[in-house]
Amino acid sequence: MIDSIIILTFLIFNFMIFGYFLLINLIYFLTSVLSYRTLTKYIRQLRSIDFDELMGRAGAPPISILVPAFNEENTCVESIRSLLELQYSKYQILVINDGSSDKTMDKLIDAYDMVKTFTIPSGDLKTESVRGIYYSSRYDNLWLIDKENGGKADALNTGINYAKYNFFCALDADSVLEKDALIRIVRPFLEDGRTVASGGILRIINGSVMKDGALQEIRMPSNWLARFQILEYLRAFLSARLGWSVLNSSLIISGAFGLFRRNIVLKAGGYCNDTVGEDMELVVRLHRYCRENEIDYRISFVPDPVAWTECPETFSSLAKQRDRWQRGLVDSLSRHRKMLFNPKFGIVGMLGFPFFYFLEMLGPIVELGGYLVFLILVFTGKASFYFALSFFMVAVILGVSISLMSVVMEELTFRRYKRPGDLIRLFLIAVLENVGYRQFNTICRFKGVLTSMARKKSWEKFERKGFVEEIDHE
Amino acid sequence: MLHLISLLKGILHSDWFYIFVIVISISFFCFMCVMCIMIFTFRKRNIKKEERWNYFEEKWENPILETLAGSISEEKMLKLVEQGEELYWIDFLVKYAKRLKGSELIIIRSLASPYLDIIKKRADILSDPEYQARALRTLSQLGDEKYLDMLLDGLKSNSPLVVMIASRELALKGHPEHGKEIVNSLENYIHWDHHFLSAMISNMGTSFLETLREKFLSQETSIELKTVIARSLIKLGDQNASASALELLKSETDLRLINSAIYIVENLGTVDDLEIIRPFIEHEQPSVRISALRAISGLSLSDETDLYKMMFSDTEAAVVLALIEILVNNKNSEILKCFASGKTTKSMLAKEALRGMAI
Repeated sequence: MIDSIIILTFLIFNFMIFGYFLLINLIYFLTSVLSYRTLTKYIRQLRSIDFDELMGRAGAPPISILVPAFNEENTCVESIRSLLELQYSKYQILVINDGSSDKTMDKLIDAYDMVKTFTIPSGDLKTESVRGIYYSSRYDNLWLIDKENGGKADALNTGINYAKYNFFCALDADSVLEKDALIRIVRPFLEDGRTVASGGILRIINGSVMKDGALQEIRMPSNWLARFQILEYLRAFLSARLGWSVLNSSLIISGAFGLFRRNIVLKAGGYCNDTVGEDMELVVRLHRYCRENEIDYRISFVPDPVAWTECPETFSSLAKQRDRWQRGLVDSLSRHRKMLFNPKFGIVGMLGFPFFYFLEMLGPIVELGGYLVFLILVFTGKASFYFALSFFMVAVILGVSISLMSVVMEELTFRRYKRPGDLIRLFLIAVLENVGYRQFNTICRFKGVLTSMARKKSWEKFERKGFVEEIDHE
Repeated sequence: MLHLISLLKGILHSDWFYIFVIVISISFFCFMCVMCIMIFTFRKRNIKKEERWNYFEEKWENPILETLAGSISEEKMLKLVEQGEELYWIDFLVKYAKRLKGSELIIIRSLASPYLDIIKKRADILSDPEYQARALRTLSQLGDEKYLDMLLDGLKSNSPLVVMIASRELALKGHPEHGKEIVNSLENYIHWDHHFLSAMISNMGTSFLETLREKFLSQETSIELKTVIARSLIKLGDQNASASALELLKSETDLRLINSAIYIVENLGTVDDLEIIRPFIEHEQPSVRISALRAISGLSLSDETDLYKMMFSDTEAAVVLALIEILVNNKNSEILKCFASGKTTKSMLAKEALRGMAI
């Protein structure tokens, strides 16, 4: 009897895993197709609208860039320098020092001649107390807020309170924006007044050459772990997020680069302090807030405004990052599970939310369970080795196909990796990531699901090397 | 249970299951191959495109600069454009047209004129809205009045993108006689950012203010368009707009319009207009109270201390914040000192504001 129950459980699990693989890959495939369609249209539109010119003549809406910084002494001066050189008519940079214990404040004050001043916040989000506000005597659009430590979300909320303009761009202190990134990310707000938030694409800076805070030459990193992440980011942004955004069901705008309508974010309550995934939680809450208050809204993703960011190059830092991301995902979705299959929340509640809930959040459990069950079945002789192998082959072929679709989209549109060798490497990565990297990721995400109950929150960052030291090795 | 086990095992070991797995594998393998071919095709195409552009730039760059300087004749320059290169030539000229003005722009337009009909014909044949929009922009930048009809037809297009490009190009060209059509066409893409749209209208200049005022008061105009027009009237500094705004305030109930109208009065009105504005200080909506407070503070010539005191006791934090901001901007430290004497949060804010003013 017990033997039968075990066999039945294994069999049911086999079918579940098979179904899970088919479903998740089918959805990835469909979002990729949607993305492809949107991208081709978008590229043609770019040819008919000259946004630089449009902005110049008609006046683009002014933007406050919020840069929360916690112990960023290695990169903060360089990052701010690159922000000061952005091509945009009117913008304010608000650096929020979240009680750094290193020399972040001193470095910024020295580098930009910051002078203490006073201003009244126009937002009413609750935050840790502000110790001082500084403005740069060299750049009239650069401000620095020094506050007690309260976490990234708290720093962003302080920035929202003090932001001068109705659009704010949330940015990581270690991100490097391309010069025209603001012009491009503001586009959905111009084209559709209902837009409340838009996200841009994040690309990996490791291996590229920087000069004076700007990206000079894009290169593939020499570290294979970073290379895997390049393809992973392409897939996540070009295939997945763009596809979901077409359905107005995008649940993530990366905390490293996103543009928001300030008044709506203020009404929705700002960033949540009590989560490690404050970026995702805000987007999910914006969906919920707008739907509950019957606000006609759009949350968009634009494929060409680029922010470059450093990615982890060691297994331990990558594991830490993925664990945090997964915890953020679990926490954001659990808080708003009211939206799950709730028709009141439209397509987000019926499609986007369930996808993230069952396939992205619980996926690692199913996937890891699948690997274990297969191993057990193969070693106990209960499953055919050939069946396991053929199943693995199907999973690899599906994975490679979807990865290659994102490479197609990259090649069709933005083509950042221009050297022929880079293309070959992308092919190799698409195949190799299925053996080892993918499984490692699954384990980290699985760990994230398990530890999400602990609700740990802090600025958990991998140690960054700083752009100049890392990149100028030519 | 045994039945279920044998059923599941049956499925798992059936030929159909394996066929299903094989079909999926083969289909996606083929798909994978197609992707590989596509990637290499796109790469090859992109390289070819880049090489072609490099060739054209090398071929045309110096001669065009010499043509602009007057050392080469236009005829000689045009001889460098061979058959099949016409569309590239137009694209090449568009880049110059964006940067140049006056006599140099006239030369660029003249160099483009023999080939613009190709663009027009293609636009007539191709129904793709993106191409239509691009063609309109090109013809507007490089063409003359000959293509005006095409722009006017663009205003009637079903595609919001085409309508937007057509109206924007007409607005930039300054055609006040078509002002009404342009403003009407805004309804087709009114979901665009209102600041952006009002800036676009104000680019057309003051020659059709009358049309704007009429549309602002018309019952048929949508609230969104009225808001856009209100902003444009302010940008254009229309002195008569205040009268229209006051007229509208007598009956309007939509908050956005009330705020826009008060904003017009604040920017373009006079002290006499305050009589109509004052009642709004007691409006139930804080945003309207703030607008009215700003207008009164900006226009009033008399002492408004009593009003400020009344607003300081407002239950809405946003109103109090706006009041303090107004007082700071007006450097009205006496009233702020009076507000700062208490121990409430509002008083703390006033104290902070005074501290800031001292710096």
